[in-house]
Amino acid sequence: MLQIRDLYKSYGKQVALNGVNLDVKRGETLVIMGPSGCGKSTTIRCINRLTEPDQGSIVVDGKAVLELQGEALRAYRRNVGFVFQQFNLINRLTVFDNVIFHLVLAGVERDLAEERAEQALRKVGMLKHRHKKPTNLSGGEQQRVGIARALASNPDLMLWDEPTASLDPILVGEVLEVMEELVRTTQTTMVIVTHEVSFALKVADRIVLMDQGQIVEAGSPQAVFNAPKSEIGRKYQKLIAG
Amino acid sequence: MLQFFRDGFLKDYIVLMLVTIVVGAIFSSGLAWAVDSHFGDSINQMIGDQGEYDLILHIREEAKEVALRELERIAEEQFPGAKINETLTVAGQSNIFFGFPPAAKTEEVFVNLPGIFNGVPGLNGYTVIVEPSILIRGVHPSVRQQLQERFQEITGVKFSFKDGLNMLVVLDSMDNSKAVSEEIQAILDEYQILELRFPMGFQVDTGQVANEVMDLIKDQVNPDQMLNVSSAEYGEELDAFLKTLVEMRNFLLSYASKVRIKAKPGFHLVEGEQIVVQGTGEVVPSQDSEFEEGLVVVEVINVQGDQAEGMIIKGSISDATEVLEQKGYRLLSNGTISEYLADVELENERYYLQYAVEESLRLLRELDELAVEASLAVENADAILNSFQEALMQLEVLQIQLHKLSEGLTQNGTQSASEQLIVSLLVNGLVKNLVQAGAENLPDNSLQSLEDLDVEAMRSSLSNIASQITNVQDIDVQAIIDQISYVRDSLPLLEDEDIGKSIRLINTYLAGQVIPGERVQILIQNGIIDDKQFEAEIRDSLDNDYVNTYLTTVGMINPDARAELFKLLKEIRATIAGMLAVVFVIAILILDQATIFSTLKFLRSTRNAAKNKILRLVNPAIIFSSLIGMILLSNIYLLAKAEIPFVTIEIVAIAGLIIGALIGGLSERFSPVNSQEIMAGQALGLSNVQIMREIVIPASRPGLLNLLNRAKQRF
Repeated sequence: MLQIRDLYKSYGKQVALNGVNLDVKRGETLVIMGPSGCGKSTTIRCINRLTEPDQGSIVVDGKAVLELQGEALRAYRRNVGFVFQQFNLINRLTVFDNVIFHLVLAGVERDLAEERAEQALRKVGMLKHRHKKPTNLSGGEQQRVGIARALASNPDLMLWDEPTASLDPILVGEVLEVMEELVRTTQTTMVIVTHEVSFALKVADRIVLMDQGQIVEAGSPQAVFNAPKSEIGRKYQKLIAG
Repeated sequence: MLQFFRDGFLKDYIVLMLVTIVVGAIFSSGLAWAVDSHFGDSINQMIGDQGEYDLILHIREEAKEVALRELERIAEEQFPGAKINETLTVAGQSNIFFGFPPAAKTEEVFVNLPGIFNGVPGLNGYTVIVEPSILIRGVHPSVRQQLQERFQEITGVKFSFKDGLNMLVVLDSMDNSKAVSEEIQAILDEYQILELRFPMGFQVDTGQVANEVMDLIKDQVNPDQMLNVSSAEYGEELDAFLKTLVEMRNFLLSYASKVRIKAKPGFHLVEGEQIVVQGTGEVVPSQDSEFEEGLVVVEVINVQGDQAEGMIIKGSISDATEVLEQKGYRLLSNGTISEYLADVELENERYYLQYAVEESLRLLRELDELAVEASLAVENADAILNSFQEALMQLEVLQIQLHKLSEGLTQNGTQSASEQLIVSLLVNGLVKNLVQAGAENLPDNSLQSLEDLDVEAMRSSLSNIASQITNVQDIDVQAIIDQISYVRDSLPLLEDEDIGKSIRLINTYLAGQVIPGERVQILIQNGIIDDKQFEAEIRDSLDNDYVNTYLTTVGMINPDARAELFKLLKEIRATIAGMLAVVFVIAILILDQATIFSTLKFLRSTRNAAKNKILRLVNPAIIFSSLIGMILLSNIYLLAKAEIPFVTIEIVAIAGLIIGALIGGLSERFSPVNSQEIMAGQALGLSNVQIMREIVIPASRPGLLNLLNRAKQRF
């Protein structure tokens, strides 16, 4: 479903991506891990063009993503769910409006949009908070709304950019639970950037380890963590063993 | 950036810009109009409607009540129906408006204004504000009568009259104002005054110069249409006043103590600097000490090399009887005495004058006595002269008789030669002694000389002297003595300090004045001459390179006071509108546009940096904000009909550009955008216009952008 080839990105002299090549099959749950600054987030931001790569190609369902412009790009983005590390909710809107507004703006019938929003909120256990403003919610709740917003458009591909990184440890669990549930119950292709090793072990079909803008190792969770070939892999192995 | 607008936001933005410009213009001009209207109403309340009042009488504040009563009396007795309105009192002067009833608005009344109002207590003068009228300023007296006759022939003119140096042409109706004004201007244009100004102190025979001038221009102007009007009283008072001031300054300068300053080697004297000397007091100045009372301060004037003249501006040397040679120290502005920089010589001119006056008084007192004595001396001389004449006659008789006797003795032969010799010697000796007794030191032939004396002439001279002495005695010497004594007593009253202050005061006044010299004025009718070309000719002809020539009008139409006032208000309105336009644009850039600039800057930050280095440095968002600032300010300025003095529309555009750039550069501080929300919008597939309408603008500061957006905002 997703092919990334020779992806490069640098910020001034700092190289963020240094020739990333990646393939993701439809329905696959891919977890990208690696130390901070290794290029994980940049990679998934490039996938939906929130960050423009300097070079390379990204193909999703046969579409060259980097060549999309205007409405074509927006249509592509509507089909890719994105969950942000900082939730990125619209603070002035209620929970329900946060989930529904992009659907309505995309031209979905209001009734249908409301139905889909309710479903999404129900899935993440936030329907009862539908009239609240994001500022009145906990971090975990806000992230669940963020997940519901991404789900509401029934995306073929969901990108998760460290969804639990901004949460305090007590709240991480409730978000991971939701994520696990989603992985289990939906067929959506997922690319998840996370530091949560146990979560990765549970949900990932495949784990990709990155370091210094490159993929240094990829494989099933067992392969990567039991018999790591890379330095980063070995560090994660030690972490699990410890 | 173009993509940002192409998505659909361009339309919203154009609407925003148009609404902003219209609202800005309405705001700026509306508020300015309100201010203008307020002032206009206040003025109307104060000075009444057009034609309501004809005069402003300026009355001393303390006499206001009495003056009002007197004016009411005048109104009741002479002008029933007249309006009186007391308005502002400024600087101790009350201004009372007086409006004649329509029937009394005649030439006769306005010409006799002094007669009507001079009895009003506390009257300091009046200003004529009759309307509708046309004021002609500075009407040359040589043509005043001629002009008045011609003006009164113009249709629409009710009458005209002289008001000081001006002339007021009163109209039947304001509707005729423009046409009458044009006709008056045409008449004024027929006359010109060719004026020659000579420098101060340059004496000329103005009549002769006028003739030369008229001769020089006779080819250009018909001699019948030229008139020497140099003697007209135009501006004479001021000229005379200035000349008097100059003379007074010269007198004071010559009367003041003479101060000669010689700088010490290495020091330079500067005009205006102050030097301290001891004077005649006991306090001795010294370096680094404070100035003390009793010291004398001299101001340096007329520097020539290392020498200068000085003028005492503090203290006095009135009691100095001889030239003082003293050390001069620089006086600093903080009152500290600085270094010894010059040797100063001070000479009390008034002492010499006083001395001379004292001596004159002595002489006068003795003159009377001297006259009496001289009269007696003349009488004695006359008596002596008579005696002398008598003696002389007797001597002549005696001489004849002695000659006869001598001859008789010589011819008589009975006597011996020795006897004859003895007699002859005796006779001759006797004659000699007689002569010597009458006129000593006379030569041998003195008798003849004595006879030759013109005794009558001498007597006549004595008579003249006697007559002159009588004349001297007739002079009222005592009166002269009294007057000179008064002058003597007055002399010390004017101290050096007073003189110095007076001179400085006169200099201050004269500093801004052109001291008039001789002036020749030629009235030219229907002639055209080139005054500058003529200037060269007249300079040649008079052999004077300092004479200047000017062509002036015989009068200038002045817009009426009300129109001037309202014109001024209009200018104020335009200035206020301009300033409000600037304020509005700054406000709108901060409240509305800064949000857009911040969004543009954020969107740019998510894009790849330009490959071209120059393009990387140039931020399109700031260029855009500059252009928006320029467009908004210049358009609002123009639409609001704003006009700030000396500020052209180009300057306004540049100001808009700068304001736009500044606010664009600081837009995130004025209106930060929530980048996370924008990014969410992008990730959810929203277009730029949707991001703006649903995310950015609703969260921005309240303003036009926010207001206009509400109609399109769906959530």
